Formats: sequence, C-alpha cells, structure tokens
Amino acid sequence: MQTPDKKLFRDMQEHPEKYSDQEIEAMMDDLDQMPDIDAAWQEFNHRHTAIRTSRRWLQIAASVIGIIMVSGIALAAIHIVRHYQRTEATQTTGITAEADSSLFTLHSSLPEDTIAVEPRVFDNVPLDTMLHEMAIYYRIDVEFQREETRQLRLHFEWKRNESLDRVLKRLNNFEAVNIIREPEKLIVR
Amino acid sequence: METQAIQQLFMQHYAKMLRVARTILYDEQESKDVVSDIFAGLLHRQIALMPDTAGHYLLTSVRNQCFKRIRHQEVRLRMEEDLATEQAFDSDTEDERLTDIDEFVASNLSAQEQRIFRLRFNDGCSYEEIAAAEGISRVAVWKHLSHALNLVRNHFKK
Repeated sequence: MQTPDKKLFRDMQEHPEKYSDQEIEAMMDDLDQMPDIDAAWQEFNHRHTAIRTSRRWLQIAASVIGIIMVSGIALAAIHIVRHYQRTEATQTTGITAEADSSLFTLHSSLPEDTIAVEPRVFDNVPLDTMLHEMAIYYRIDVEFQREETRQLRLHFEWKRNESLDRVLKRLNNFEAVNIIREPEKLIVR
Repeated sequence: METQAIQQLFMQHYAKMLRVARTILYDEQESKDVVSDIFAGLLHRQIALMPDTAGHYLLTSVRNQCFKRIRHQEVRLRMEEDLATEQAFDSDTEDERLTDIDEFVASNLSAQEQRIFRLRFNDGCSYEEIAAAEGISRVAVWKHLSHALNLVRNHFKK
C-alpha cells in the first residue's frame, strides 16, 4: 500500500460522489494490494518467538530442577528406609522373612511413586486420544456429542496426581472444549 | 498455541486480515500492528481454533480491534478539543458495543449492503471478488460499502 492519506480515504468514503471512478478504482487497488506474506511472517516470528525460546529454556531448566529435587527426595527416602531396616534388624534378631520382604517392597516402591508425578505432555494430540487415556486412568467412560470435536488438537500437560475435576476444569479453559462430568461418564459437547 | 500452528494460520489468513484492517484504518503500519497483535495473542493463550471457524474468528477479531482503535482515537481527539467533557473509557460497554455491530448491520442495512459488508469484513473478500459475486461494478461496491461503513461508524461514535 502506498503512503497513507487518511483524510483522502475518509473523505472518499464519506462523500464518494465527489470523486471520479478512476480515483476510487485507484484507492481500491491500493487497499487490495497483496502484502508480502513471507516477509510479514519473518518479521512476526523474529519479534515474537525469540522471547518464547528463552521462556522454553526456563521451562526446561525448571523441569530439570524438579527432577533433581524429586530424585533427591527419593534417595533420601531410600536412605531412611535402609537405615530403619538396619536398626530394626539389629534390635530384633529373630525377624521373620516375611517382614523383611515387606520392608523391601516398601523401599523399592518409593522412588517409582515419586517419579510418576512427572506430567504427561500431550502436544498437538487429538482430544479423542487424550481423553481416552485419561478415562482409563480415572476409570470413567467418555461420550462425544459431536464427531468433529474428537479431532480437536491441543497442547496439554496432564498431571496424574490431579483430581479429575481439576483436570476437567483446566481442559474447559480451552475455548473450544466443553466437558461435563456425570457419575458414570464424561460428556464432550 | 504452538508456533507451527500459528504459522499455518498466518499464511492462510494474513492477506485477508490485512485487507479488513486497511479498509477500516487506512494506515499500513497500524493495520499491520493490529493483525500482528492478534497472532501474538494466540501465542500466549491456550486456545484451540477449529479449522472451519478459524478464519471467521480471526477476521472478526481484526474488525473489532480496528473499530476499538478508531474509537480510542476519536475519544482522545474529542477530549483534546473539549477538556470539559470528561468521558471515561469503559471497556465493558466497549465490548458490548462491538457485539452490537452485527446486530446493527442486520437491522439497519439493506439486504445487498449487508451481503457486501459481510463479504468484505467476515470473509475478507477483495473488491473484485465482491463485484463478481454481486454482479455490479467495483465502484458500486465501494459506494455501498462506504455507506454501510459510515452508518456503522456514526452509530459507534455515540
């Protein structure tokens, strides 16, 4: 588009009868001129996604710290259990094999549980697939009222330790998603 | 929303969005800013656009943002001209006003003008395309559209 002349444009709109057809045609050519879309995208991308990448790094850093903390807690838990096991063993020499194995299962199950808190990240995954996986976990059925909603692709982080209600609340934050919970099933409207 | 999905929408709808913005603002830089702001908004929000309604959503956003801008500018102008009128800028009534546009168009424009208005602003058509669809000349399209736009603008100013 050429150098804008807002006054002329405004006047041509308010009083088109004052202008010749040629003048109006020229104005329309100007308004409908095709922009350079690739250049516009480059500019947009440069201006907006640079900030995003740095934020992505922060996210990665945050999750690495999270993993380190979780494994730290797990290690501490193993240590405590082992220590407890040892003192128990020295105090009561006549300990049964059964008690021993129960202690073993206790300590070996600990780290596994703690790591499961890691969120499951759905990236550009159809709602259908996502809800199916969640429904198995929360033991509930899913019903889609509209077929096209199944193919709706979303980015969503699912934390399994969250309650179903909480997860639904977050999913319903998406403008295109509306899920209702009934006693036996989820209804996607 | 993911950058890749936004790029796809950008490639598909940018030209039409810019066309709508130019028709209302007639300022290349401002028009580009409005369109770019809308895409930036998508980057930071958890929003899913259905493929069949994405275009309509984007074009309506452009139209609303442009009218909002014009109104801001006009309010500012009026305040500069007449310091006695203290008009607070209320964003709630502002949004109501925007949803009113469609209603206003439906009840105050002739059937043909409504069609032309929607072809330009809801579908992002070029003057050429509208002329072909309506079987009239481009200049006639301009005149109808100007009339419609003037009415909307005047209504909006109140």
